[in-house]
Amino acid sequence: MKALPKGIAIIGGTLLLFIPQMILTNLGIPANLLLLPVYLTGLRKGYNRGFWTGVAVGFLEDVLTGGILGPSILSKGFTGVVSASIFGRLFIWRPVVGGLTIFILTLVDETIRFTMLALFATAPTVFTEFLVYMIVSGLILIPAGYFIGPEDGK
Amino acid sequence: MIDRRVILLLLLFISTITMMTFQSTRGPFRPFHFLKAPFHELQKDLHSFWDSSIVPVREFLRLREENRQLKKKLKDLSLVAEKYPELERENARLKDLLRLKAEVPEYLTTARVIGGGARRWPRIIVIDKGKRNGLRKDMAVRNIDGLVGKITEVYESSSEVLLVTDPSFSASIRLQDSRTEGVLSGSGNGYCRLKYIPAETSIKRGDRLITSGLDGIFPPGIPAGVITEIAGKDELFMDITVRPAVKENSIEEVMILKTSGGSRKERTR
Repeated sequence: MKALPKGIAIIGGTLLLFIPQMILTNLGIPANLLLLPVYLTGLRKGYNRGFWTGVAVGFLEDVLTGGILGPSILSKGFTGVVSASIFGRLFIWRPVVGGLTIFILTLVDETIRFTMLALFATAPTVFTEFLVYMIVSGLILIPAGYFIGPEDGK
Repeated sequence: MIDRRVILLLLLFISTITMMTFQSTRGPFRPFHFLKAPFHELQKDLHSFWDSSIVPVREFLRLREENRQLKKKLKDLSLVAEKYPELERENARLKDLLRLKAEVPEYLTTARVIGGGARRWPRIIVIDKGKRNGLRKDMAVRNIDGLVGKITEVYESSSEVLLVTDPSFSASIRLQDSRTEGVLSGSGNGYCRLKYIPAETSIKRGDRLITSGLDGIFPPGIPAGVITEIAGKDELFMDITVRPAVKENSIEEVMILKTSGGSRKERTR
């Protein structure tokens, strides 16, 4: 019975993230805030829930951005699985490592999205602008990676 | 035994690639687009919330500052001009739109921009008019400066406009002086590219572009941009960079134009 309100809270929280995401986009600030719930779920709840959260968030992102359905589903689903697999096996979580990880995951997420759009629709921009966009959106998320850690601290 | 997460990733990869391959030939899936309407409503609400709560606070701060200046420069009549610059500019813009409305026979309605897309790409803006105002897909959108884009999605009371700077946008245009025809497309970095202009064509930086009307979507004569860079003169077609007539981050009011191609299938995508 506890799982239902928790699930509603997660879905509601994710939907609410679209508001600052839209505001930042309209202000011209590159941001990928939608990566945060996927990273958080993957990190704390394991690859299975991370994967499905990633797929759900990616689906909403694809629908709301108005392009083809698929690029964000793939990139966020991938992020959900990878974020569950980094710590414990490969690395021990530390705030700095967390910041670096979310920076790299943002680069991977944006690269997958850009590549899929370029392959199956139209390249959304020139590569140099994409590089700047990707790096800035990664840098913006570093503080979040610093604070979001696994439940057991490892 | 293969790790379960590898299987999940493989399934994800195969299903999304299949989906995207299908959409690359048949166009994006439409069934889920109804989900966008609530978000447009949300954007509209945010916009009116901004207007009703944040703007008065900003206005209060501005007036406080203005009051301070008034006390300081009581006899200076120029303060009057400083007090209403935004209103004056808006008034001037609306007057220009009204004048343009009389000159443009294709005029349908005027709309306000209420937001942008959820992500940076594709480059779209959301306007506060939709089906109930007679808007349809593929209608041309312009403002006083020139070509803004075209309508790609229409909802009950809002619509999405694909901007001229998006790479998936294209329009048939003409060089104003030489009358040479070409295709204008966005480059994704705030500029546009002029395509299919033969290398032997005589053009120079500063040449102006207008819509030709040949695509059946954009009425002829709308200013589209100015040539800023010309390269590839030894190729078959030149590589021409164009600064669009409209600055994409300063679009506030737009005009929707009726065209004969208003309900047609997307032909420029």
